[in-house]
Amino acid sequence: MEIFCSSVNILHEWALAEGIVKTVLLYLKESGLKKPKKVVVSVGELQQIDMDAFTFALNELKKGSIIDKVEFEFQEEKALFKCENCGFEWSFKDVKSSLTEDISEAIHFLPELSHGFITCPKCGNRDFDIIKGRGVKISEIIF
Amino acid sequence: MDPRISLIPERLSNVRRIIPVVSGKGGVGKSLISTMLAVALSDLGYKTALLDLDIYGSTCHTIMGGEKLEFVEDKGVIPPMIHGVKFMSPIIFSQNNIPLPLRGNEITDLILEIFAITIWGETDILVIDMPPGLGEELLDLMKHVKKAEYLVITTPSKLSLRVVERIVDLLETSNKKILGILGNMCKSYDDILKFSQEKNLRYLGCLPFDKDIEGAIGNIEAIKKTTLYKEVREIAKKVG
Repeated sequence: MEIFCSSVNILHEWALAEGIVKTVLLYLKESGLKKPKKVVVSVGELQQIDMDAFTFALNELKKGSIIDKVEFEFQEEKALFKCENCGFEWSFKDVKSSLTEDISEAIHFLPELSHGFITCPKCGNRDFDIIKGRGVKISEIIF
Repeated sequence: MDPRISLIPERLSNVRRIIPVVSGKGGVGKSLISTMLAVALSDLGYKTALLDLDIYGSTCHTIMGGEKLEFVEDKGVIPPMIHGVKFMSPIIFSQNNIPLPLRGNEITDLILEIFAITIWGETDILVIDMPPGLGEELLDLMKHVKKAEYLVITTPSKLSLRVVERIVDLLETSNKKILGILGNMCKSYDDILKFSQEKNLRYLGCLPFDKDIEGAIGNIEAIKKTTLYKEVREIAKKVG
């Protein structure tokens, strides 16, 4: 086990993967549908997911379930912000280099903390909308 | 499909009771009462946790003197322990006194994220410090945390009681359990007692204004020596 799993602790990506697996299983149970062909998961750039840890967790969590062998496809969704004050739009790439490791880590756990550390590059306002790329979600379940 | 929602019942399954501390108005002392209540419950032997959901005005960590908090990451986030209380707040991730101007859905997103990733473990009572008002924080709690028992705080002021009436109405019409009404900063308790009788709610008491509390903020041992804390401890015995 490398970066994502020490002998004692497993990264919190496990919790996010747990939500994905549980939700898919719940959906299949409640809708009475059979095993899907594929599950498409959107991974928002802002949350800076460790994909190795996330994939490992997903594979562990779906073992022995109806979705054990189902393909999970990941689509990265680039983060996009829009200022409520002046309307300016910017990407995470535009501001990421100005963030320290601690700040990036904080945003990784709670993406909304970005409001405390990122301001509109044009007018300096903190009142912006995270239009895209916030976090992890199920985009599609394909049968 | 939001993958966090399915996690919430499981995350809270080992939490026996959940007590959100609410009011209509701000400035009635919710954060102080929430924090002291959590510490008192822990002192009484309960496995206690405290969640600060007052996103804009989070101060429970300041009250407890916990400005630098370390959490453990293990299949989620294990809250740090401070003064015998497991403590969770957005502040433990940022450790800065930053403003968090959030709109609508972003408040919900933050709350769902906290509930999805926090590993509470075996907990007798989770106290939640709630912000004033009837916004997303309260609505999301009502929607996703079915076993919550709401502790309503008010001062004797007509202004506070007027707004508390609205929150009581909201909780009752939504069939939510109200643990009781607790007054704070009281010189007289008649109006609060009368209000609780009119609404057929449990009257838990009326905490006095304590001039020593401000100076004790940030030092739990000093807080424990105040009259206010001793009274809150009696309340903890009633609600625990």
